[in-house]
Amino acid sequence: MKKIFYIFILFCINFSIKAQQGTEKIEALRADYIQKKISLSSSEATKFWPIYNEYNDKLKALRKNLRQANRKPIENLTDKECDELYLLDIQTKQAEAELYKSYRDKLKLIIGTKRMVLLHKAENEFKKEILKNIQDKSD
Amino acid sequence: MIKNLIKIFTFNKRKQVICLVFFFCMLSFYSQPIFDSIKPKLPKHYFNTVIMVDGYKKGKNDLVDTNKLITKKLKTYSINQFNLSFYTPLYTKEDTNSLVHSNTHYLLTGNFMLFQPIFDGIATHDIVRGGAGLRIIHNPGKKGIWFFDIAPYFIKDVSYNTETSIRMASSIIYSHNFNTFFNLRVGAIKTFLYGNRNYIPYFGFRIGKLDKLNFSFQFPRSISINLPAINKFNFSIYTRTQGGIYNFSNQNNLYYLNNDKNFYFARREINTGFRIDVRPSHNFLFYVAGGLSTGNYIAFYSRTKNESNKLRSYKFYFYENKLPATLFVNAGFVIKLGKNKSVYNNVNLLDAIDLNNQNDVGDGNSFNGNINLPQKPDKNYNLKSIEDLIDINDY
Repeated sequence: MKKIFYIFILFCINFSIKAQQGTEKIEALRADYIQKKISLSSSEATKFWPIYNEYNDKLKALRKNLRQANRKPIENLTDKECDELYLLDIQTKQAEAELYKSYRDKLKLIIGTKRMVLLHKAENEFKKEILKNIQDKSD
Repeated sequence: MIKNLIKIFTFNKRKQVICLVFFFCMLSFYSQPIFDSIKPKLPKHYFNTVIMVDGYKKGKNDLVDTNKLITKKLKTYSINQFNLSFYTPLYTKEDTNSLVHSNTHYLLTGNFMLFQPIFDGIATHDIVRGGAGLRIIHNPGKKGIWFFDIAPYFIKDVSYNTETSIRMASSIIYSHNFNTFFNLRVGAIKTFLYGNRNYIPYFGFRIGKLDKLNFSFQFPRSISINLPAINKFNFSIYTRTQGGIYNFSNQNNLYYLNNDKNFYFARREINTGFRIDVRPSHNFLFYVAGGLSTGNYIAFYSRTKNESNKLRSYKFYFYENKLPATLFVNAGFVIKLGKNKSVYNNVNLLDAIDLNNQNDVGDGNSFNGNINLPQKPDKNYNLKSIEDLIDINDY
């Protein structure tokens, strides 16, 4: 019983120290922000959020993929690796645009064009707010 | 010369087929979405692998009815219980082609429990229960969720190496989300939680959002009022049943008929108390709970006399005792592993997660604090936490 207790305490300490400020909280904030701005009915929300979440998961994965590829210091890269990295950058931007178009088309069918404009606006406002908050903190 | 040239450039049937195949291959290659060709790593499932460790202790009852010989022999009754369980997603089938996203989740569940009923008059018995099961959660993408669970497990009194019993608990529940504030559940479960083999209708509802103050009534599992106070804490007042039916060695000669080497020990108690959940990070949670254990009941069922009741409730007991209330304490921790697909504001999947958590694995009745629901919005963030959410041009 004592052993279990010690393991428990170790876990608590370990996880508290390593507590990550992950993207989860920001994404939850964004979802709340958008929900308020575009006011969805319950049947619209049932269709809208799975698609919107899927789009963001894919977008996030693309950006993470590119970010991880760029981790290696540039001095250690061969010419071939530089070419690959360059191509990945271009392809990522293309894929982002492709995703944006296909998912926006789907979302438009659920909430209509007017609220799509509202969605775009809300996303931008949210980004600005987040960046402003971070700037204020760093000042 | 000209004739030869024409011969070279004139395709016979075989060449035409090869060219066509080549053409379509190239077409399919170039028409492959760029997203797929880059192959970024995406989470496969909506559910995480979750490991739960739970310890439970119920205070001592003095067995006072000395007219019964068994009561005299046992003297007191208390409980120590340790539970280790997990669930992990095996496969997620998803249809995202239409505007209505539907998905089916197949989860593997597992459970190991060490249970010690402590009677001061006899030596402690270590009873082990373990098993693995399958859970299927279907979200048709509309307003409801279907939940199926089968959990076969074994029970053995390992202190005296008795026979092993195989049992199976199962559930079928339909959960309907009227909106984010109100949810209704109906179904049926086969459980041993109430100290016997019971087939019980399931009825539940929740009033209030999952991440706000809510009242949840989930018969026969729990009733709770939950208050997520600040981001890392959740308080709840709850009533939750604990119990089961276990193989118990007759080493102490508690049962004198039929020369039975073991019999069934049944117990149940209804715990009402206060619980605090602390979530220091998004993948770890620990909790402490305590309160009053009422409706304490124990019974000893003859194994041989109940043999005819293979699929029904046991009837023939040779000892039973209803005991006064005692105190109980319960503590544990939950670990979430891996990454999952996002479920923000997705009412159906948030409900599917809650439904999965309210129904503990392996016929147990612990609660993992809904660890795989997204954390409450928090304005405490830094630049690193937004690096994949905001494009470089946004800075």
